[in-house]
Amino acid sequence: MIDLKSLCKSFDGVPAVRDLDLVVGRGEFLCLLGSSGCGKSTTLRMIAGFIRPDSGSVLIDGVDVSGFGPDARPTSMVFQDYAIFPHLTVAENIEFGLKAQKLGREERARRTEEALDMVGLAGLGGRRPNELSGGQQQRVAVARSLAIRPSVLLMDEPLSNLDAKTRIQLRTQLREIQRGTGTTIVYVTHDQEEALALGDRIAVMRDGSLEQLGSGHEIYLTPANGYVADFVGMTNWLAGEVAGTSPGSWDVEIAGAVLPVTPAGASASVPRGAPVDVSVRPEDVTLAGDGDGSAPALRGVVRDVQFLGPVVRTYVDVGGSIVIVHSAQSGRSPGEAVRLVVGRARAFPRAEGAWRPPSARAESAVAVAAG
Amino acid sequence: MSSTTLTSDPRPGRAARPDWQARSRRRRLADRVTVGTLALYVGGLLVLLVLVPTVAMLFEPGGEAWSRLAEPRVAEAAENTVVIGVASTLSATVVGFLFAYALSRPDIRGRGVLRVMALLPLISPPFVVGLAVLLLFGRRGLITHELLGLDVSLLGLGGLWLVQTLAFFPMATLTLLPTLKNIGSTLEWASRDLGWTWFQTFRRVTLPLAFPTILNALLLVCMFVITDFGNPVLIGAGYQVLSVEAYVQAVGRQDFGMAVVLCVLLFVPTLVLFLIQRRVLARRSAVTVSGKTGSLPPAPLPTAVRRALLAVLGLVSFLMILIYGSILFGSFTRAWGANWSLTLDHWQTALLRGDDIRNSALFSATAAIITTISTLVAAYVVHRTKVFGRGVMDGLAVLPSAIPGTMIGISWLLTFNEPPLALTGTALILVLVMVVRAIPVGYRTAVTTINQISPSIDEAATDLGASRARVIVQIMFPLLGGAFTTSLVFGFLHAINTLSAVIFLTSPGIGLGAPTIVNLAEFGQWGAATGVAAGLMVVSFAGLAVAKLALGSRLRLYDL
Repeated sequence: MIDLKSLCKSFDGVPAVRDLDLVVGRGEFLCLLGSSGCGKSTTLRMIAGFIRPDSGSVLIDGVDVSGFGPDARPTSMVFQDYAIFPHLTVAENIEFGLKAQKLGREERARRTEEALDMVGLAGLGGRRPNELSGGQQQRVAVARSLAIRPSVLLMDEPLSNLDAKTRIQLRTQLREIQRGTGTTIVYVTHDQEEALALGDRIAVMRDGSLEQLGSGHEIYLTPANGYVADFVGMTNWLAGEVAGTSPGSWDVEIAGAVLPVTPAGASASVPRGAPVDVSVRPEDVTLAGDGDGSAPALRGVVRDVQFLGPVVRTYVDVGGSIVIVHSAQSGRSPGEAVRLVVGRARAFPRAEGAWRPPSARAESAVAVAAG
Repeated sequence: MSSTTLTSDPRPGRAARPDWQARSRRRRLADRVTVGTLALYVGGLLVLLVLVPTVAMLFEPGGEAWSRLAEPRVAEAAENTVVIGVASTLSATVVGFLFAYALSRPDIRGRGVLRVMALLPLISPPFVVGLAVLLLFGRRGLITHELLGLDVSLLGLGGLWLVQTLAFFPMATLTLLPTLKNIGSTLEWASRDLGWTWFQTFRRVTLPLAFPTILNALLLVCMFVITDFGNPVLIGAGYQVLSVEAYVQAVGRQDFGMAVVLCVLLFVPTLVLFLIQRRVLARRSAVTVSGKTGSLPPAPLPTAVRRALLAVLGLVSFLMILIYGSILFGSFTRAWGANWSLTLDHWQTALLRGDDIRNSALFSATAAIITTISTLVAAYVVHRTKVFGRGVMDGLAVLPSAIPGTMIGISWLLTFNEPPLALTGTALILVLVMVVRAIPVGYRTAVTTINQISPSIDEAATDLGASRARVIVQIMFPLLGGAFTTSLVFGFLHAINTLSAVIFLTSPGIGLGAPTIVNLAEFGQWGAATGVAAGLMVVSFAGLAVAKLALGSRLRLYDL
C-alpha cells in the first residue's frame, strides 16, 4: 500500500527524518507517535507530497509518487487546524475536491450527502464554517477528505485542538468510519493514549528514526528500548545492578532487594554487577503492609495518596526517590511504612550514547540510597 | 492616613469603613476632574481644529458660487478626477497586491529589495515621484529628450497614471500583506491536496479570502489618489483635477467661493469612500480568516509564475530606483537638461541656507509630539471613560483622513485669517495643520495600543485604590511607551511629507520644504527642487534612523 524506502529529509542541515523505511498495509490504521520534532509530521508531509524528500522514495499502491505534487497523489490530508475554507459553506467545502475531479453535479451532490452522513453531520451542508464548533469543523474536514475517496487518508494531529470529551468521541467515530470504508489511515499524534486507542499498529519515532513498530500491546508490554517504555504509558525507573542471569530472567538488585526482572530486547548476556535501568509500570506494583509476606520487595514510606476515580495513585518514597503505584483501592495513608511487591519489570542495560531515563540521568537516587 | 485611623480607634474594622467611604468620595471627585480635564482638552482640540474650519468653510460661498458647479471647467475637472482616480486606483492596487503576494512568499528571493521599494514612497513625500518623472520623462527629460531625442513627454494623463501607481501602490501592499500572510498555508495546501493546481488554488482560495481586504485597499488607495495634489500639480500639465483646480481658484484667482465649491465636490466622494471603507473594515472583523498559520511552510510557486512575478516586480523596482536615483542625481547636477556638470551648490542651498528644511523638521517634530500626546489622550478618553460625546470625538479624530488636504488648507486659510482666530502667517498654524493631518493615523495607533491593554489591568489598579490620575500616570504611560515612540515617528513622517494642506498656509517669512519643492519645480528650477527634496528625504530617513537606533526591533512602523 504505502512503501517508504530509506526516506531522508533535513531542514537547514538539521536532519528531520533519517533513512526511514516503513510499510503500511491496505486498510491499516497506522499511528506515527513521537514527541514534537521527532519527524512524524515531516514523514506525513512527504507522503502527502507537501515536502520533497532529500533522498529515498514514496510508493503508493506500488507507484513511485516521489516526483508528484500533492494534487497528483491519491492521498488526502486532515490538518490539525482543520483548514476548512472559511469563505465556503460546509457542502461547498466538501464539493471542493470533487470539482477538481471533474465530477458531475449529481454525483457531487450524492457524494457530499454521503460524506456528511458518514461523519454524522447530515443536514448541515448549508452552514458556514464559523457557525460550527471545532469538533464539527474537524468532521467536515474528514468528510471533505473522504469524499474524494483517497487511497490513503493522512491525519496530522487532527484532534489535538479539541477538548477532551470531543476528542474521545471523535476517536470512536474515526475507528467506525475507517472500518466501514476500509480506508488506509496514517495518523500522526504525540498523544500516546490516542495512539494506543486508534492504531492497528504504532510506529514510535525519535530523532527522525523508527524506535519500534508494533501493535499497541507489543509497544506497551514489550517495549524495545528504554525510550519507548518511557514515552508510552507511565513508568517508574529504578536503577539496579545485575546480580545473576538465567535465560529470560535476570536477578537485579534494587535498593537492597534482589528482584526477578525480564531483560528487554536482544540484551542476551551482561556481566554480573552491570548497571541497568529497570522499568516498572505503576499497575505492576502491589502495596503490602510492612510485615506482610516474604516475597522479595522494596521498602518505602507512603508520601501521598491521590484518589483519581478508577484508580488510586500512591506515591511511595523508596530510599529518596518516588515510586508511583496504581491500585484499585489504597487503604494506605501518608507516613505509613510499606513493602512494594514488584510484578512485571523490564531491565534495560545501559549502553554508550543510548537513551537514559531522565530521573536516572540526574542521579541514581535509589542505588545511592541503597549503598 | 490609614495608620492614624488605626491608632485613633481600637476597633479598626468598624471605624475604617466611614473613612474608606470618605476617601472613595474624594477619589471619585478627583477622578471626575481628571477625566473632565482630559475630555475637555481632546474635545476642544478636535472641535477647534477639525469641526470649526470645515463648518466655517461651508458658509463662504454664496448662492452664486454654488450655481457655478455647472460650469464646463468644473465638469471637466470632475471627470478628469474620476478617470485618473479609477485608473490609478486599479493599477496601484494590482501592483500593491503583487508586491504583497511576493512579500508573503518565503520562496521569493530578493524580498529585502522589494520591501525597500515598497517603503520608499511611504517615508518620502509622494510628489517626489512626480518630480522625478518630470526630470526623466518631461519635455527636457533625461530619457525622453536627452537619451531618445524625442520631443514627446509623459506629462498629462499617462504620466500622472504612472506616477500615482508608483506613489500609492505601497498603501495597497501595506493593507494586503497581513491578510495574505494570514490566509494560512494550510488552506492552500488543503486545496492542492484536494486536487487543484496552483492557479486554481489562487483563484478559488487565495483571491476570495483576500477579497474584503482587496476592497479595503481599493477604497484606501482611491482616497489617496483623488485627493492627491502634488503629483497632478507637477505633471498634470493641462490635465486638471479637482484638487489642483481648487488650488488655482484659491491662490491664482483669489476666488474662494469657487475653490470651496470644488473642495466640497471632492470631499463628498472621499467621505463616501471613507464611510464605505469603515463599513468594510467593521464587517471583515466579524469573519476573520483562520488566524492559525500552522507550521507548514507556504506552498512553493510554480517556476513560471515565480519568474513572471519577479519580472514585473523587477521592472517596478527598476523604475523606483530610477526615480529616487534621479532625485539624488538631480540634486548634484548644475542645471538639469542644459548643463550636466556636477555641483554641490544645490545641497548648499538646501542644507546650509535652507530655512525651509529646518522649519519642516522643527515643525514636524513639534506636531508629532502634540499629535502623539493628544491622540493617546483621545484614545483613552474614548475607549476607557464614559464621558459624554465620546462617539463624536471618535468621529472627529478619524474624519481628517476623509478630508482632502486641499480642503483643509483652504478651510484653514478662511477660518484662521481674522480675529478671533488670526493665525495666518504664524508658525503655529503650520504646526497645527500638520497635527490635523497626522491625527487619524496617530489616533488609530493609539486605539490599537489602548485596546491591547486589558481593562482588567486598570480595573485591578482602581480596585487596589488608585485614582484615575494614578492609573494613567503609573499604569497607562509605562505600558504605552513603545507605542508612543512609534506614533511619534509616524506623526513626524506624516507631517513632514504633507503638501496640499500646508501649501496654502506658508508665508514668505516661514516656508516649508514640501511647498518649496513644488514652487521651485514649477519655475523650472529643478536643481534646487531636487536639492530640497533630497534634503527633506535625508531628514525623514534621519528621523527614522534615530528612532530605529533607540528602539531597535520594538519599532514596528510599517509591517512589510
